[in-house]
Amino acid sequence: MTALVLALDEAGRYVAGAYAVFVALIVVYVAIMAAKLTAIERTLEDLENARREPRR
Amino acid sequence: MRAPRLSSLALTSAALLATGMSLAFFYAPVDADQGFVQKIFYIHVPMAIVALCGFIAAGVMAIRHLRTGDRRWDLRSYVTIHLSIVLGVGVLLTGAIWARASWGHWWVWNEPALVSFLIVFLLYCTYQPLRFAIEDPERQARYASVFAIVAAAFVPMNFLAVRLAQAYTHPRVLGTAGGNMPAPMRLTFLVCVGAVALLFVTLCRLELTAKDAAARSRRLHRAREPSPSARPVPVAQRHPRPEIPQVLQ
Repeated sequence: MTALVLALDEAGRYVAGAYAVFVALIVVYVAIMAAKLTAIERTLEDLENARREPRR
Repeated sequence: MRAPRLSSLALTSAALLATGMSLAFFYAPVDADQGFVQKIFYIHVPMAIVALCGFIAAGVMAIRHLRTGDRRWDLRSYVTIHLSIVLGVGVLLTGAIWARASWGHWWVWNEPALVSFLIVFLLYCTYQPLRFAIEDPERQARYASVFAIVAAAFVPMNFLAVRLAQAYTHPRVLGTAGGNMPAPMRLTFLVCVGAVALLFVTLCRLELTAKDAAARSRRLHRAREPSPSARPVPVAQRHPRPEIPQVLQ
């Protein structure tokens, strides 16, 4: 199969699409990890508050 | 101790990625055959190489888990496979875009490199359902490690099978003669491989740190909960009602 040489503007769209996929994957992954870390931080804050409160 | 190392790793991988992208667009020459579309190569191939190396590394970690019984190796193997699958999604999507631009089709079923990567990807997609189908944590870790080792052995076999295939159209990048890339292209490609590899390591460390923190907070929660023997016994349990035999209808 011979490669088609595309005009620069059309090729640019494909290249931009491929790089956007890469960036989107990384951003989504980091966002999910950040959400998880925020939840953990909240849990740790709750534990810290519970430790400060006097036990009945 | 861990946070500064993670942040410095993240900064280094971001800088290396920026360098790789700059080299790809401003230094590497435009390919005479494919034109500007060939720039996809600098992100697609490094992702594929790092994903496949990640699968093999996960197998090695699984061997260490089975040999030592240390659950940390199982966790590392799990995280490495997880991230390799994420990169695998990127490889398939960017590959489809490149195939559409170069060959006029999103997917070509008679291309061994594409189909073999899809097979490896689908094989690893079964890892998580298999893992979480087992409730006992000890058995779960052991079975997942066995899977990771067997699947990792399959990766180089698959690679060799593609190499030995006669009818191929996929370009050979890393041949025994060092490929046929001009020096600027090769340098750009190597920087991009290094950048994606470093990004992979950084994200692995991030996920491992998150998992470690989650496990610590769970342990703290459990430690705060009163043990069953220390809990006050409900009145109903202190004075249980006499058992009433069920009346057969």
